Amino acid sequence: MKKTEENDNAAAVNEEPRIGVYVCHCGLNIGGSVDCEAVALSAAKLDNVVIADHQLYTCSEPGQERIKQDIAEHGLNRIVVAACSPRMHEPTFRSCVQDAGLNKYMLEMANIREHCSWVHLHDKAAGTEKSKDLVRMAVARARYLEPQEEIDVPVIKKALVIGGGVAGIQAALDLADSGYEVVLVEKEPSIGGRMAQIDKTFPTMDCSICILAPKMAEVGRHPNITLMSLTEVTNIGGYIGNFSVTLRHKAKYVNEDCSACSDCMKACPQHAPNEFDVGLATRKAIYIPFAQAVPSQYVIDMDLCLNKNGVRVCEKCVEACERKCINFEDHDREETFDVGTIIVCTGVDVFDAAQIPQYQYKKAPNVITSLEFERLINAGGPTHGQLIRPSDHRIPKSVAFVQCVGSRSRKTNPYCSNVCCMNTIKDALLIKEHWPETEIKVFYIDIRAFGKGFEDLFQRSKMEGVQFIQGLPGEIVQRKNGNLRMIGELMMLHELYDIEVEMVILSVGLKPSIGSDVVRKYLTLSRTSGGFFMVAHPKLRPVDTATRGVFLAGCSEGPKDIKEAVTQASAAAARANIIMHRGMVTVEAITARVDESMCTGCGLCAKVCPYQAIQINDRKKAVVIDAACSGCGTCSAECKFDAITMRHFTDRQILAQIDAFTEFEPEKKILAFCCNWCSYAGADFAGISRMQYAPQVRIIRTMCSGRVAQNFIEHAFARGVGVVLLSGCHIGDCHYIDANTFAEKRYKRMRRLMKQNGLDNNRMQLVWVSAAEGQKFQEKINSLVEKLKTVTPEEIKNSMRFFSEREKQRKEKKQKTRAGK
Amino acid sequence: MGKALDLYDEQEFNACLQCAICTGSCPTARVIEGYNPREIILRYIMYGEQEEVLNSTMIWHCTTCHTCQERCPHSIRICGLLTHIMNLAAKRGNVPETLKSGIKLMIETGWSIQATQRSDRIREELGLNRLEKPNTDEIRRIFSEAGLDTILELE
Repeated sequence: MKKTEENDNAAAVNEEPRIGVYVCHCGLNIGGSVDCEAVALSAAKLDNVVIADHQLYTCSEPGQERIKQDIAEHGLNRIVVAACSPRMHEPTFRSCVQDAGLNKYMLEMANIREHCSWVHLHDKAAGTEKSKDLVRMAVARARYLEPQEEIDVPVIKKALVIGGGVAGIQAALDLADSGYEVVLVEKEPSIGGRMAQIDKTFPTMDCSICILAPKMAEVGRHPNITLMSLTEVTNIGGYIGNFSVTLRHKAKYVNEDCSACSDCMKACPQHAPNEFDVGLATRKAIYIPFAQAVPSQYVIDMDLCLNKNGVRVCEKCVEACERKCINFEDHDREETFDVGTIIVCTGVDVFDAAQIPQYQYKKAPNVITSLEFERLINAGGPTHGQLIRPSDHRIPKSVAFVQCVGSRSRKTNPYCSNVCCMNTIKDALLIKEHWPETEIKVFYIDIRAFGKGFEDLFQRSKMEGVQFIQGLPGEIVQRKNGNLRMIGELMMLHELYDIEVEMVILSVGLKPSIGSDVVRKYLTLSRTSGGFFMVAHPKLRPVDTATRGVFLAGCSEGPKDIKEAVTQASAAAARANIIMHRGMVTVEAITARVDESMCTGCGLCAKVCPYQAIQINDRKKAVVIDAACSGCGTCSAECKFDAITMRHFTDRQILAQIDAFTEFEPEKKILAFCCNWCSYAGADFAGISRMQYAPQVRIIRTMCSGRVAQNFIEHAFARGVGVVLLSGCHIGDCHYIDANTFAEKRYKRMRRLMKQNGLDNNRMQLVWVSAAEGQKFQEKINSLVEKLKTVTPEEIKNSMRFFSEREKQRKEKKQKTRAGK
Repeated sequence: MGKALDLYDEQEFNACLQCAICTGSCPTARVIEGYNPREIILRYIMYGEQEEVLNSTMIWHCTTCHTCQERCPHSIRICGLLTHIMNLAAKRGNVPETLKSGIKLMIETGWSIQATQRSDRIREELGLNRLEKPNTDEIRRIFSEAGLDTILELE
């Protein structure tokens, strides 16, 4: 680990700030609802601002050139860019100022697009005023910016792939082929995932297992891949390049010498439904999920086995096993190791069709799901490829498919599951291939055949005589003979249908795998409204997550077909490869620094640090372990003696922002503290989605809500702010383990304090907003504006007096403590 | 009409997928040819054919059984809208004669289906008591308070 000198930059700190302000029109994205010229003119009047201008596209080459020229020409030492979210272009402008010889931390951005122009599209006057405020706040912060030196951290050249479906297999193989060590974790006894269960793939009608099995086998024998099946992730800590992973290997009770001869299975007396065949066939207590399973090794299901808790009542498998592979003494084991990158491929479950009672699933035996169909039509399945009716084992002469079961519905899954239309078309063709006389009707809302070769397959199915009927059945009624009446509206002819078929296949949608929740928690991933993992940027970073070093592939990101899952897996592997190939990652210089002269050694900071990154040394001074510090700022917020400085998010910088905010009519405005990962991103999301809300709010960004010290809030009230909103990630989702719980504590303390002193404590608000909850942010701001209207001038006056007095007392007390020392 | 408007929200109809589950579930649609709640909504909300819908006799076939609404994937208040449409149509006097005469009968006799000599005889044979004439003044007052008499020009 490299630690560089900071003293070189000491000169820059003491320099008189010379600030350049650049207001971006972003075409009409900002210029359409903000008067950028007026914003630049108002910025030009601010202290220390040497130059203020507006440009059509500041991020463009000429835009950046202009900044560089001005730095050289006017001796600027701080730059403020009022444009899009720093989450978008901060890296661009940081490298721009760096090219011009400034330290990259001397840049500040005012977010006047996602947080202003896009959310106040129809109120140019208010949007312009808000932009002026945001720029003034950014300039105030810029005055106190300090140069920082970043450190490089070595990357462990080993990757973890979670989930052994086709995406996980592809990602593992790509990384292993690039020469990296890969650990592939699968919670089931075999890899293969959903693709292994499917009979054929669309649109080419390839045999699914035939093309997957060679890849599975390659994983099994690849020298760079360690395959861990029947294993679950129990904990992940650390950060990019240096994640610490803990896994639990569940006991298999059969060792690796197993040759999968099946003698044990034949001897076993215990039966249970086979999960791989969706319960349509049985397996034994000692079993292998399917013929092509990798690892090709039997396991014992201890819930089913007669030998429990060390009590041996049955020895049949042990007697049958020639190679003596069975070991009842086997037990779960935990293992911890470090990796540099992680690829999440946790996949999907299918929708439970019993949730829609009028479709009779699980009540009428001849109503099955599309996944059950795959097992029935598969030659390796329970019926050896015979599509038979569960009620009487006859091959049906007429079959109906019902689309969108559990998808596109506010009651179940609101999204389109993407694959069901083509899957049904493929299934219908499979039936036609085996039994050409079968009458097939597909009941649908829309047929979405959007991919390459999809429309051809759709047309082919129609040529083969598959009928497509627009209008889903209102209900399905079972007749005594097991046949099913489909009752609904034939939309195209405006008449009702009542059609009898011998078998119904419900085309069930996809939903995120249950197991993904543990992974989400430890990697602090966000979910979109459907529950799938959210990527860092939907267009430009489609496999990255907001957590650096963690990538997504396959259906964990959203429902997708095999080709897309494989494409994404290779992309994720390539992204992970970039990090590991470089071998070093740069860590942002935002960690804590202790000023020993102020530190009393009270130890509170060490107590609240979620990373145990602070220790108290033998001289009774707090010491920050730089590599362990993640920069949440909780320690600084809790320190009563101003002894801890959060680099780039200092007290002085934040208080300056508050002062600038409160310069004009603070009583009419809302001050929102947003954390970088969730609520600030959620506000960005509201902007990207053009969710309109009231313009009274101004946002101050911190890395974590845990950074927001109580004295920031008190200072805001002392300066006459109408309403203060504290916001962060949901409890349990904090990017700094649990630092947001400190925000909650301070919020409660503030509410109590205000109430006890006769102040309106509803002026202090808290909301948890995830990166996907733009709407929640919008609703909260709109409701706060209603609250703002009820705040009387007297209330403002009282609170200003109360909190100013407290600030004064606090200052005096601190001086006394210092003098006492 | 203030309260009636709360029965539905025009916005929620924008979520309609035209999946046809509503009409496919409608028990009335199975017996009345041409009755189609999905089509009424499509015309009234999406195609802006309010006049045509309000003047149509079809709207009166809804029994407000709520099956469509219960099964709608987006929980759209279809019955709410149909009730609203019936209210509006009634206000402008588009009420089918059969319904009008039923209401008139109820005001006059207290029954929507009148007791006849035959029904009296059957009751007697079954040992049931003779039906007493309901208090029609009260019924008339309720109907009048609800504004039914002016809407239906019953006076």
